[in-house]
Amino acid sequence: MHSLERTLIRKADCYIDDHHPEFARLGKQLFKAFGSDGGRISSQVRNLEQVAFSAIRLADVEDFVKNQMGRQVGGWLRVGDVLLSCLRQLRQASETMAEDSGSRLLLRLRLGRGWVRAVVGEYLYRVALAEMRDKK
Amino acid sequence: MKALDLLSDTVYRDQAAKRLDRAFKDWRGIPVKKAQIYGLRAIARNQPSQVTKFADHQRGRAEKKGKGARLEKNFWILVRALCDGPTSEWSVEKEGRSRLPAELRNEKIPKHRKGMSSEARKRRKSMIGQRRDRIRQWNEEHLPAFFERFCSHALYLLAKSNHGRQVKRT
Repeated sequence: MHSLERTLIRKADCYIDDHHPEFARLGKQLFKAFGSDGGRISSQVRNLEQVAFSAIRLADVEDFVKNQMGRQVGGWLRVGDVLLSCLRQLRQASETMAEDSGSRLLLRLRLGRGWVRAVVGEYLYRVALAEMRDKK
Repeated sequence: MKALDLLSDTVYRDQAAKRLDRAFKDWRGIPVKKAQIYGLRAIARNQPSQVTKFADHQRGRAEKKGKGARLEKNFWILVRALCDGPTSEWSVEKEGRSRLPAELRNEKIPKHRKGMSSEARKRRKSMIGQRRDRIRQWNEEHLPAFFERFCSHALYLLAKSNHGRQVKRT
């Protein structure tokens, strides 16, 4: 079983940390596009998160976004392109971090999961803020 | 780690996007309906050996529609070429042939010639059979993976062109 070297894991985590503000902006956009389901996470955002964590290839996450855009569900047409360009950036970043193709495949997945955690984290923060505002 | 995962995440994704983006530019859209793309994906997932037949059947239907469906016909020609097109720049089958073990490559299989011993003939026949089986197995495993990428990208381009049209209209 192939697993990622510790140095690569660190590289990926540093990349996610460095790009956090960018990912947070995306979380905000996600909130604008999908809002919340009565103060809870939108099912579309939850699905994106689940796909990122269960996928075995980053292209599966890209496919999910493309399929949702194709089905013209909710706000996907508004945010889909930004998400896809972000996923492309992760792909490019993995090219420079690892030499062999097997490590790059795993690295892309790790980057994708870190990315979705940051994006959904910010989205949930926006959901909480909106709910607090509504309660006032 | 399977070679299929690697190819699916890199070569198949890139080839599907490249070929469709180019066609989208030339055709100014995706000339088939969403349901046809879903149909293609379902066939590729459940009966990968039938994809070429399905593409030929759809092409035949487009031909019957006449000149107005020229682009639709071209779409199905593209699908067919991506499966096993011998003259296309890339196809799933070509990818498989390039990854055949050295002993099953064309140049390693002895050519048929007059006066060949029966043993040599048998060996040749068995090698050809092995190669055919390998290619068939490759297509069975890899066509679904490739068309997963292809159909998602086609749906994405279709949605974008429809959305663009709607925005223009408003």
